[in-house]
Amino acid sequence: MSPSPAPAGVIRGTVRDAAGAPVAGARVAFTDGPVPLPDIAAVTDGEGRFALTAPAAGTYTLACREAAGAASAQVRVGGTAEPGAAGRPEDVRADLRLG
Amino acid sequence: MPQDPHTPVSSESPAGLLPADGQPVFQQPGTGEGDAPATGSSTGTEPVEGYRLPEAPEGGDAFGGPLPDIGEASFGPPADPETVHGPDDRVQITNTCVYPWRVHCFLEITAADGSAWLGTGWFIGPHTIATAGHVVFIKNSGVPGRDGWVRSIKVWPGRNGNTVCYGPVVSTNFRSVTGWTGSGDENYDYGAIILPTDLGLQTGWFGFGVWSDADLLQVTGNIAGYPGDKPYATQWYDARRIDSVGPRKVYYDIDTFGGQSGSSVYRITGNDRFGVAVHAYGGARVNSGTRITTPVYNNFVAWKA
Repeated sequence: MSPSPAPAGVIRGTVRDAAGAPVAGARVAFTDGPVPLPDIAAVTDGEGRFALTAPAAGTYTLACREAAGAASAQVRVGGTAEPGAAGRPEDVRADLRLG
Repeated sequence: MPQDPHTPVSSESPAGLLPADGQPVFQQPGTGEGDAPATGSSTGTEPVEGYRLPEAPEGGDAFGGPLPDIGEASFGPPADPETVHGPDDRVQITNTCVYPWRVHCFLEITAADGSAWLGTGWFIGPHTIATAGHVVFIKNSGVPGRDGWVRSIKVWPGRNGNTVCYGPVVSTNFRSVTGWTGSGDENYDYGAIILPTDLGLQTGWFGFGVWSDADLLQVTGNIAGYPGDKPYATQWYDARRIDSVGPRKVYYDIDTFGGQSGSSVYRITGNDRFGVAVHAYGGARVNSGTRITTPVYNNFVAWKA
């Protein structure tokens, strides 16, 4: 049995509508990444925020498809967090603007 | 104690994962209230109007089609998780209040840190819903306060958008195994939701079982669930022949999207449906689920009691 290591990063962002207002209750999920990823969808909080776990270093694509529009973003998680920093995963930003 | 590198190994499957006599072992489905369910099609799919099983790659033997890299045999299919591959074959199910569609549950999950998530589960008994381990227990998230058992899950059997067939029922009672909760190993990514009511007596449930590699490679895998790229809480269906199997995993090119973790990967025999795996991960060429091996089967039997 191989224990999974600490994640490389956490991808945090906010979903906004075309006018720039945060969208609560929007669904965000990975559509691409460097490793197989859990097929679960995050739901944004009251301020449109989400945080998805990036288990390994690499490039991730995330998408949001709502009645108000769709958006996607591609981000690179380097896994460069200092090993001495208590193994903290790297924080990566990915905001989505529905259009 | 570290394992001796000279410990002998065998080409046989790890002991205890499959029945010793090679015969399938399974639990029977229950169809709940109402009429008898529709019989599956001759290709092993659900008889959904407008849905046709995509053509299999040409050639009936192992060397008849495009060949994967030999490395896939050891390391699994490519790791790139595009969960909808090529043409999107998913079809929407709108008559979700009848069996078998009402067995599939839309899950609204509240994690320990209050964050919200969507997943899918399926009845395996009157008060038990099978799902992925990461639906009920979050592991290695990297987010303070998020890891551990989720706070609650709101279960909507057979929901279709704003049409509610049953429930919802809220559960705070979950099951998984240490291979997932302790090690976060995807080979053990399965769990269950225990409901405080016997709602499954109305919805019915799927059977589930353990089949050999050769048997699974001959069947069509069916998945229905609640993908997050479609209108909220709508149910979608797709099917394909099983692509490959590992000791604890099943691989398939059935289109899915975030929100379908925990779906049943099931086979149809006559008008009976049997889960063979729990969908959990998206991949580049194929998606994958946790195979129902003998230990998984035994846990499901215990959890449905």
